[in-house]
Amino acid sequence: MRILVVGAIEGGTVPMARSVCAAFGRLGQDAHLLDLSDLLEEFRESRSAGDFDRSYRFHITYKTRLLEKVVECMPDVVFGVAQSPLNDTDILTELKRAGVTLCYWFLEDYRLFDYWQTIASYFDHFFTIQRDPFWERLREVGCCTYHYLPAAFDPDFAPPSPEGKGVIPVSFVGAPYPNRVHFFERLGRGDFEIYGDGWDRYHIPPVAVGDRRVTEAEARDIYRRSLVNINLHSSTLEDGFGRGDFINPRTFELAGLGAFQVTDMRKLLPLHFNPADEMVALGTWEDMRRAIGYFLDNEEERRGYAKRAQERVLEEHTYLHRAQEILDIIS
Amino acid sequence: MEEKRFLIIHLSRLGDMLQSLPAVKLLREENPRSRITYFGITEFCQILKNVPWIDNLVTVPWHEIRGVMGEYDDVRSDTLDHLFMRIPELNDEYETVINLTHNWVSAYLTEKVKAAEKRGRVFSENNEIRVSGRWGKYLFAMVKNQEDNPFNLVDIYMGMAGVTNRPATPCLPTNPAVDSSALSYLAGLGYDTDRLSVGFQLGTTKLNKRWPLENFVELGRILSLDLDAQIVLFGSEDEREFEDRFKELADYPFISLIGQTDLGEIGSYLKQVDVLVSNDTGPMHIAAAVGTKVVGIFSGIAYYGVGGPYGSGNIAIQSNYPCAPCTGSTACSDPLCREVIKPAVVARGVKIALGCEEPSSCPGNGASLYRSSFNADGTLQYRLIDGGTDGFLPWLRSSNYNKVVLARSLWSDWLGLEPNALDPHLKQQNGRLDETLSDFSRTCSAYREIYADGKRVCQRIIDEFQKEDRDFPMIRIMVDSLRQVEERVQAIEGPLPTLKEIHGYYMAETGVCDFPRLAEEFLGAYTVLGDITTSFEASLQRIARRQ
Repeated sequence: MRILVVGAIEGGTVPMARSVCAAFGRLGQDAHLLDLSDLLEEFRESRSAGDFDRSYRFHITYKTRLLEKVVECMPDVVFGVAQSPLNDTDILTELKRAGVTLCYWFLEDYRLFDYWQTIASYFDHFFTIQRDPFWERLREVGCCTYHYLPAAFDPDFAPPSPEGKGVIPVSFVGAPYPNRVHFFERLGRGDFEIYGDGWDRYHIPPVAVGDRRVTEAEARDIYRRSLVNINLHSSTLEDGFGRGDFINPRTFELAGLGAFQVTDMRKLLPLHFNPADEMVALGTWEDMRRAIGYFLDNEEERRGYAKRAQERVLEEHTYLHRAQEILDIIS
Repeated sequence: MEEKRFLIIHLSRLGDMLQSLPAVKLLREENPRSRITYFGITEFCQILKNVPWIDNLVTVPWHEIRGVMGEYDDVRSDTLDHLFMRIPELNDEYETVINLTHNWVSAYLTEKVKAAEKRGRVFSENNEIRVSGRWGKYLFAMVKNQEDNPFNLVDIYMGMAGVTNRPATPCLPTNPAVDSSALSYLAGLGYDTDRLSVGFQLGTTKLNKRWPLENFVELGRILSLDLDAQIVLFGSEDEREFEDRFKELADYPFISLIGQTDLGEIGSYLKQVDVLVSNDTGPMHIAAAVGTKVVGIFSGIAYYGVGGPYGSGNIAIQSNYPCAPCTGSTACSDPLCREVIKPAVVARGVKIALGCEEPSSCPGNGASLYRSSFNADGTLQYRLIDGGTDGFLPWLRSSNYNKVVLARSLWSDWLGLEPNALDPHLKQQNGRLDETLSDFSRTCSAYREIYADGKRVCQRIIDEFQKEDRDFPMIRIMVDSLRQVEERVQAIEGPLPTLKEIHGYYMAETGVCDFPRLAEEFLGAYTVLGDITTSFEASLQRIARRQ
């Protein structure tokens, strides 16, 4: 099967598109990647200038790139990942008429990002990291072929080992959502470092790198150097903790790297990790705060959790596993 | 002496209804010349028909109120008005109406009943949750924070009924004639009265709190071998499939009563076994109410703290998973928290309940054991059996248990219970208790400061309104400050989450009115709430000194 994977221009899903494309290839498919990340600068300029003409020209650019690639490889399947610019319904309709199977992996929280409402019904297969009530909403907008497909880990992307760099006792990598700001303000630890874009607006001592997005390689380096990685899922509610459903890609990433993490409990987590042995998932912020202290003092147990989580990820949660699940569904 | 008339409203599940019985029993004991009317759901109240301390049992079929169980709207209130008119007992006059359930239906009916005193949730026109009485407020406040609640539902109901907390078991009398026929029937099935017997309640209405049947089979094997116990299966007609599967898997003899007992007589059968092993179900509470020892298994949405079987010497086995108890909307179709409770651990619980084994540490990460006993203040308490320091989850459960025990000391004063001696479990915790005490103190002090600020702001508004030449810009600033006070309360993170809920219920009691009256009402609420935190701080200091 010839599969064209369409990546995003920026953000965390750019490497995911690369990983899933590579996985399709390893499973014997004729997989091609449309990598649009080289358009990042042009994209940012078109957004920040407030220049509608420039913005229009940018849209033409990426759509042309998409159509050129389609003509070049004549795919049986076009597979988009979250934030990839498969949002022109005219193009989607034409592709469908041409007999192309359209798939989309919506690796986002449907409550925060609502563009699924306008595109979901155009896809033959819509993969989601959430289930009901999202699926109910999808049915309402006319999308009936949805499938649960959580994020995954790519063991083949391995940045250099962090040897020689210092240990970080407790860290967080990610964006400042309201719940993260609220809880991190209350952590009260001098050994805590936050990495990510936009944190410099908040006065949470002692933030280490607070004013820029870290690269994937940098993130992996931080994960592996940290004794305890805090993985607090995003929420727009200040007190949002432990009541969410989906598992973020960071959960699989940290586990796959063998990095130790404490995360907030998710409704879908027990489907993929055993909360008794593989994942330290907490129901309250109070519990998480205490767990951080506990695991800083218990190295052996920390290593045990990290090892078991890593084994589970390598056995069940790599992009190769996900690509196989996708192929089983669409073929 | 004039006869006192009480109306008790309980429109909820069978298990909760059974947990109200000790309160009803004590209400009669403290008011021997009273007339007690109990209003409940027909299907569940069948079991109450011969309870001597209920004078008048009034019921409504579940299907009649199921459709109106949501929150307030005009259609629902019309249906309930009709129901109210149709039931003469609801139109009688009472000294006291006690609403033990927290749904909107019971609140609406409580509002309509004529009574000098109303306890529990009472409907308000603004559709706010208004709860009268400290215990009533506490019940509502702990519903969202079950894991922080130190009190059994039975004790909360006793508090709401206004009786002195004390042991009240057994609280469900059975008919001696039915007891005899139950024994004869069992004998006909091969039951040997000279042998130890262990009952298994295999089913539950909710799948996610049902311990796997295979585990029950394995438990039966262990108990047959270790204790020569005879196993008796209990269950309803709908649960016949369990009997078939049990038969397929069990390589030892057992007696099955599945589908052979109705709600009216099941108490007589449960009375015959030495101990019942049960999921969190109505029959678990029936067994406890007739005085049979119970080993309760709590997973999924079930939590031993509030729903542990009432009575001394019962065992609760709680899954240690951080997500247990879950909210009920969990995605687990086959929850791991049930699997992690191993048959060997439950067998140990049975042996402890029977006195065959001393309480000792429980190996493994998955579950903790608790044993019930009565405190000096008359309340029931489940005490952690295993100290659990050999792994994170037992450590976390033990750490949370510390918080619950500490919270019990604080809430006891406010709820009017006799202060207990410092729990021995807390005494053993040393450094860990210091940390917990410090967390509690920090939280209480945050509340105290906010309430002090709130009172100051209210007083300034009141003072300004008393002046002839009022400074309205300043009043506006003060009103904004009041808003900030509320925001600061909501932003508090830490132990005692129940306190935040209690805050909400006191604030809901303030009237819909203008300034300066609203400032006066807020001042009253902040004073009450400030007093609570001050008393908590005093208790914490006392505990720290006694260590």
